[in-house]
Amino acid sequence: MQISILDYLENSASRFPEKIVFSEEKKQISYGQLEKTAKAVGSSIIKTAQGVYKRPIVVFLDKGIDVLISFMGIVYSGNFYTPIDVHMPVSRINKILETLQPEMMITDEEHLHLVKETAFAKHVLLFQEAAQAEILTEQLENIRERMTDTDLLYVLFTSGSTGTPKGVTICHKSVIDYTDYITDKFDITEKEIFGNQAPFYFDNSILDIYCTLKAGATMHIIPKELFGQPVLLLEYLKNQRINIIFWVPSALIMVSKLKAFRNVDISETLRKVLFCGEVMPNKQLNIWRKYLPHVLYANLYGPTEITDACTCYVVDRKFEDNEPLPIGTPMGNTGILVLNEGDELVKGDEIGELCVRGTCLSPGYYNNPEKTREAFIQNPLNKAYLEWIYRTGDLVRYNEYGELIYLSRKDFQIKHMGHRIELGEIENAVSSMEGMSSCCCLYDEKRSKIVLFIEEDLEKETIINGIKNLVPDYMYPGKVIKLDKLPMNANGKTDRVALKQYL
Amino acid sequence: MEERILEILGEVNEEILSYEGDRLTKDSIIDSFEIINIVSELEEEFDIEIDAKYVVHENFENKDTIIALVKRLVEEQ
Repeated sequence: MQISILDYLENSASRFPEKIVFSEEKKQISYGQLEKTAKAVGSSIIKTAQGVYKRPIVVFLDKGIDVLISFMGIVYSGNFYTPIDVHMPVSRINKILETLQPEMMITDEEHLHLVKETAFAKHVLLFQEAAQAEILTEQLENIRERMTDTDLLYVLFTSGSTGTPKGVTICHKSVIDYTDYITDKFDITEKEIFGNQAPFYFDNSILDIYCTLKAGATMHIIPKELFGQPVLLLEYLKNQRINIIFWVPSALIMVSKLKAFRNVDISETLRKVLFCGEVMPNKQLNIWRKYLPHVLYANLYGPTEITDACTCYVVDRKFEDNEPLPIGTPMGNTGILVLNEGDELVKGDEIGELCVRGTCLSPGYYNNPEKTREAFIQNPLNKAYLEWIYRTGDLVRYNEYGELIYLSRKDFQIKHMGHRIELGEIENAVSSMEGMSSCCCLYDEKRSKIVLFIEEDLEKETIINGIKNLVPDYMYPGKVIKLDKLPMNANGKTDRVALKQYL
Repeated sequence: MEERILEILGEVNEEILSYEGDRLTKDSIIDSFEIINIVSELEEEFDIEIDAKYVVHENFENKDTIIALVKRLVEEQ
């Protein structure tokens, strides 16, 4: 039976010891080397912080192979990992450290001075030294025997509405469950060559990392600067013969909007395009589909709290540019409950909150029982025994195909002139207009006005003209504010809190 | 023409105007969405086509390299 994700690594290492598992610009590592180096790092952790077990360890390194080795090493040591972005402001790092109380930080010479600027005062381990440590086989085995699949694998921090980041805890069993489903569903084998875009502190990377390890595949860490240079990016995909990508929609949009498909033909290599993390506009997806008609496209949906994604839609029919793309149906071994305000299952196309049950559920926010209780609750439909569900705060409804359609966040539903309005619906309409990049709608309660934020220099009249066939007149924005750039939060999504100051 | 280009750049992101270095994109002063905006605004304003192959760091090092690119494309037309 499988208890930890280490089985993925070790099984593939025995099948393909010489095969490259991870590759970055100037470095690559085989399965055999990965297992050996991870065990060395694990041994070094055990030696440095004696007796530390089931405790958080921070990885503070530039994105690269060393981060992935550290993750595996931390698991070997019986602990769990939290990657922190080295570009994050020190004040936010300190907030995370305060919540997490980690036992150790793994870093390198280059970032040591930054670690010293933080409030961290426990063990600091230099990656290069740890990677060369002697492997303590007996102690690693002892730790392995004590593991259960309910032990934590990682804690990832997401922004909290109050300004203090929340640490989402995830167990081994959830990642195993998710990886098994994804590799089955998308027929992921050792032939797969992943092109990784997601940062390792963002949970989209879970799919890339663990599907690669399980299948014995190869993952290329795409240099970040290529995401502003579409032709070079496509050439990279072609040269590395990358056949599967799982990106955020904004990365896909960059390629289609700048018309890079005219320059580089990747139809011979790319086979699967998955995306998750924000709404993918059909206008842009249709460009991808036009140039790469034989690729499998899948829209995944889910918050970090349920292990990356919980629903999936494999694109199987035509969509107009202004139609929303469904988020699809529940993934295997995952239950989706769409609950109305009375905590009953919705009927027909009634709008409700998407709630999740299953092995994918996080056991809560680290060191934060209050926030945990708000979002993780007893299934209101089950009065007989303990069964947790996670309330996503996302409003959805079923379409005529029985697929879920994402509407907006629960917090952004408004009542305007007696009408119940989803701000996301207005945003969806505005986004489908020619030349529109991103937009955001807020509701000015005081003045009973829908306020639309855009980056383009367009008059209100132009906007209304553009959306009048898509939404009823009571959804028209009452005010349009043009900003040079919509503010983004740390996860790259529009920062609605920051926008409120313009009201 | 130069003035109009600067205006467009300033509208997308004011920091571009004051930036003195030659790593505009590498230093994360502008992100990929801003690059998209700059390209589409310039295309519209000057009725040019900025081929995707020109969207590389060398042409987006700072405001001067962007101006040089637009001038070249306008002349070529």
